[in-house]
Amino acid sequence: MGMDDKMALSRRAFLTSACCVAAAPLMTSMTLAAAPGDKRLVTIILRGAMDGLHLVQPYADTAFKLYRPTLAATPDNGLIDLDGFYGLNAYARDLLPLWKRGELSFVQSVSTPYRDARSHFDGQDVLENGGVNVGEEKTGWLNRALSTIPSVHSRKAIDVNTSAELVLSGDNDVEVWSPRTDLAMKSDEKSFFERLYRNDPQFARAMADAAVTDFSADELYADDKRGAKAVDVARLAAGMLMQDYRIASFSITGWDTHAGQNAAFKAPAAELTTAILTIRDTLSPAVWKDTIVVAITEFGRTVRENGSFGTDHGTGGLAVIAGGGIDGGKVIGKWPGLSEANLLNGRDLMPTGDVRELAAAMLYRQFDISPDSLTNSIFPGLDFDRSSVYLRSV
Amino acid sequence: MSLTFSTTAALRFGTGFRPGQTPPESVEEMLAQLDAGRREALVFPDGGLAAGRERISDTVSELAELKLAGKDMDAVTRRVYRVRYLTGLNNLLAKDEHARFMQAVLSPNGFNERLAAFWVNHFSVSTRKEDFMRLVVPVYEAEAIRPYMAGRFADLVKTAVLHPAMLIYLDQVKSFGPTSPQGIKRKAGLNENLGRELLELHTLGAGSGYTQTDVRNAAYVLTGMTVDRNTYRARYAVNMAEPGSRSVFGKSYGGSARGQGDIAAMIEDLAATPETRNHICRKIAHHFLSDTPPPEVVEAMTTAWQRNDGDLTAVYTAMLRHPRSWDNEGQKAKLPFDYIVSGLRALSAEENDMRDLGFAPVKTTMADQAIDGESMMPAMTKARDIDSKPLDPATRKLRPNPLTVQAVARLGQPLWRPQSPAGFDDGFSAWIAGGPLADRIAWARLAAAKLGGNRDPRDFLQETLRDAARQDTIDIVSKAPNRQMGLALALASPEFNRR
Repeated sequence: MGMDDKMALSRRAFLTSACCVAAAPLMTSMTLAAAPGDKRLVTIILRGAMDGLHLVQPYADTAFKLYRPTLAATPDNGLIDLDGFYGLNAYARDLLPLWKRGELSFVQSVSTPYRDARSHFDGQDVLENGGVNVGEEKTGWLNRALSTIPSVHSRKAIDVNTSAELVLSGDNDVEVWSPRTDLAMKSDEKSFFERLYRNDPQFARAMADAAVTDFSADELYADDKRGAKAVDVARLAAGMLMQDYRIASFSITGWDTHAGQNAAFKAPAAELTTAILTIRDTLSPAVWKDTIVVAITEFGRTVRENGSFGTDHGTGGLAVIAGGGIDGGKVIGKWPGLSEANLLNGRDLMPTGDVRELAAAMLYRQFDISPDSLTNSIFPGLDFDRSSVYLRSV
Repeated sequence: MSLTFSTTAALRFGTGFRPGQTPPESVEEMLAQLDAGRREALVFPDGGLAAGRERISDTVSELAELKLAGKDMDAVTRRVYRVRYLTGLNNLLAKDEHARFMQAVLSPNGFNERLAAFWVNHFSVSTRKEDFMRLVVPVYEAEAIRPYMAGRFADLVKTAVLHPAMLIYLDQVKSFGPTSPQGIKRKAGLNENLGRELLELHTLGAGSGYTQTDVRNAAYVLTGMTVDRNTYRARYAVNMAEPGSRSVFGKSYGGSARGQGDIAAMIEDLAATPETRNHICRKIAHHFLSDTPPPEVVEAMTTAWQRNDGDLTAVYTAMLRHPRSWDNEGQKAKLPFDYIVSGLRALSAEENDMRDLGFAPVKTTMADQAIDGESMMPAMTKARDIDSKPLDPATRKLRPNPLTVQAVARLGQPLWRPQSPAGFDDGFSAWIAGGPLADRIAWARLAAAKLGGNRDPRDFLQETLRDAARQDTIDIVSKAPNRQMGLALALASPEFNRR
């Protein structure tokens, strides 16, 4: 293939993704940054606290079913066995081939240093600022990481329409794509609005009407239609990574499954699955080999299911790692066990790893950022060196 | 339970809190906004009132040239020019509409802004009545409503009702005295539209006791009022005026010499009736306080009206000084325009956030055409150029901003475009129902996504609603699954929709 063909192809790839933006704007803002080298990193922030125990279920731990009588599944009723101990939620079934090829791993029981208060905002703030405390850093760790990569291109923004996500915001130039205007609402979000209006009879009535009768409501709550949009976002991210962009970050929401989790989990899980597979499919095989996708969440959820068939805010959570060059097909991280004494505060999965260390390891691996920078400016106070378990096991 | 003065002043009587602007702390400070508002350099019409007037005369000349040139054109070409002309007018209007939002969102004089919206809705006109109304309506609000809404009601009626916008909107320009020289010459007669609405909507109020004869006679008295189509100023054409004397609501106007003074006298008399002051005072209280406003407040207002010759500042003062105007928070629902304005203020929206989105792209096979660029970035630039290249450059439409002009139409209150001369409904149930609420939620989510940034929703709720935030809302906002959602919940909350 001559140079011209390659250029034409890459432009075509870009235009394809640019067209998607015009035709179907994004469900979430996306931030992108250019960097030298061939390695790529995609960060997906799972906002709302993904229940890692629901995505990757420790079905062989006998206590699990006791904590979660309606939520826990087994390979007999739809769970997809991964390694004899863990099973994958059926809504993420399409990830199985990736797992089998060793291009997908999960990191069990990780968390940020954020503890006890279990606020989404604060949890996400810590997750993105990369520090130990809420508000400790005003910029995101991913953006600070850019400063330490030599000769990062600074380029004019293509379309700055909304603020960058914190994880990639800071002094280094990033590009932000605007969010979709009338994005559909997931059921966990819808339930927040229902609760918002619950004690105001006039608004509660209007909300009930909106949910059943209105055409707009159909747009607002159309969970089913969201899958296609995850495709657009992921295709755009991958399209840009095929050019000179090396870092992309976007969010998937809908994980705050306080009620009816079995149903509420479907949309976000399908979206995450679609996003990862679309990135893989859009990248060339060679670029996929150089790419790591890491999906992280602000914290996990309670080990026990609650009275409304959902779970509440917890601590230890799950990270997802995918990429053509990883040594995957395993669940990484020490399993803390589910006995009452092993739970944090008697309710949460005990964190056995720091999600920042995982992120640091990926930055080290992809961009050769020194452990010094990683533990000082990017993740202040983090314990990380070349012997990190995440360097050996990913 | 009552809210603090400044919270009620900002939410019920103002346009909501905007970080960096100090809300009024006393009735005096609220009243001072009327003066300050009158001295404010208006952000709309785009470029100011003089610019708006200039666009009118420019367009008059342009239209005259087009008409002249049109004589030699075939039908197809004429149509092309017609489409271009209309698109041009629509784009000029779009600029003014966007500027109108900036005025409301940026002005520190919230009470004054609310009054402007109230009176424009009371003296409703629509940009859709005829082509030129796209230019005239923005000018109408700026020159006929705003400068007069703190003075005597009778003067406000005169400037509003006798403005070209109203004369066109309610067909006064088509009304001829049947036995006037022009009426005879054109075989044209009376149009009752403005006469009827003057009594029914603008002054006495429906069901206040006037008769069809009063309506007809008011229309007779109004004959002669028309619009100079070269300047779009009101003009009195005595040869259109019906001679003779006519009685309206018990008073007689005209005689052998019919004149513009008869119209002014009729409006003065109508404005001075108890029916009018009850109607108007109740409507103001209904707008600001409750769908069933406390009768004692309305009474205080009508008394002030009577004692002060219909001086509106005295009426507002009576309302603001009445303790019952400050209790029972949240009885009213914000109209869509006010909802959006207060939301944008809460989010500290700046001019740039409220602009139109430029010209619409035309769908072509842009991907194919863009492939032969030299490098990535030029290819992208090129794609954009092609993207925005229309079939006929003169027919490109300005795209409305989805947070402002587009949103307010979607929420049911298109700017300067009421469905009827009665204006937009002001009642709670018209706006807080399934469909409209879903649209408000959609707006809240969009606004949070576009302008929310990394604000902490808990702080935002506190800054935005202060002591009006209910514990329920505080709890739910603080538990939201992410910041953006938390901001959307705050903006969609019942107390943010109420006032």
